[in-house]
Amino acid sequence: MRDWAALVHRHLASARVDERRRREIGDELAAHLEDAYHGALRRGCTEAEAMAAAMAHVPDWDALATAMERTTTEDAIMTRQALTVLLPGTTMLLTAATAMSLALSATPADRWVDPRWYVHALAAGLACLFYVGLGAIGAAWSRRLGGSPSERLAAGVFPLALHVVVVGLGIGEDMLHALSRGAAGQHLGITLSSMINMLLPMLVVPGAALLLGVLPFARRHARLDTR
Amino acid sequence: MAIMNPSIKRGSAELAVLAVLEQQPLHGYEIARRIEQESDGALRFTLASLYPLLYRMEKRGWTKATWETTPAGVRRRCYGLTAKGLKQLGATRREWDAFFQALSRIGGLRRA
Repeated sequence: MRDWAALVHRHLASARVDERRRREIGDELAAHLEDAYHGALRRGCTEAEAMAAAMAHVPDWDALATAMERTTTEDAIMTRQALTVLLPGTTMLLTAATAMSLALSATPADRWVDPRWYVHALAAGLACLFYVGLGAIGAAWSRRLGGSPSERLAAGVFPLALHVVVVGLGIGEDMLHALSRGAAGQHLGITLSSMINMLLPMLVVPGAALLLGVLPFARRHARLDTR
Repeated sequence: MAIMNPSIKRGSAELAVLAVLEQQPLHGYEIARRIEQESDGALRFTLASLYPLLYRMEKRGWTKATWETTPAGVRRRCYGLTAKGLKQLGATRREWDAFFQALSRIGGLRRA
């Protein structure tokens, strides 16, 4: 009689599944094949026919190994990405949102129209440094949690989602306003030109600053990646 | 009986498994055997199609699996329907019923 457990375990050996889970799945599948084999014998099949009947349950061992791998890893992937991307990413996004609202409420109105160029340059420089820091902390945190380079990148640039929402709302409001006044075509021209002015400080510059912070942590790091 | 198209079978597999487990807890081979028997061979599972489905249903909390040892000393993993699974079975049945009614209205099908 065939050693079903050995057969199944041999074929599942290539599947990237946790060892304990692989053993459990292997035992269950081996029991299935054994039942199929004995079932066929009870129906009057010869030993060779019973063996063929059992093996008909696994037309493709590679497909079985892949299916098992996918089933056992799909939840793990979700959990992993929630941990390595969403946890550091949303924390950095909330930090950016808090800092943005604090800066807006704490800055006197006349400062926004201050004619001195160096005041604006200083504010922009500080904001850029802050975003470089956010990107670096997000990516470093993701790396510490075992994130892959792409997950670290996603975690680092995550605060940009806040800017996309703000810009999107601004453009949407502008468009609605134009449409409600029946001057869509004329207004759209102004929106397109102002859109470029909006995209540069709201998306391109903060995105570049975040990316700059991410870069030192996005490279594959031998010591941490082999864990 | 003609073998059904695999894409149609995929959608019906959950209903088939839940329905046979409604009668009593069963292990994997017995689930596959009953479904094949009760569908006159139209629904057939391979290990690669049955077990991923069983594990997903277990993760969703529709079934609960326990290892049992038969009097002959053989270990089998038995799947039983949970309250959540029973509720899901009712919902799935209603969905498929509505689907067949819609098909019969369009295609003039006769239901058994």
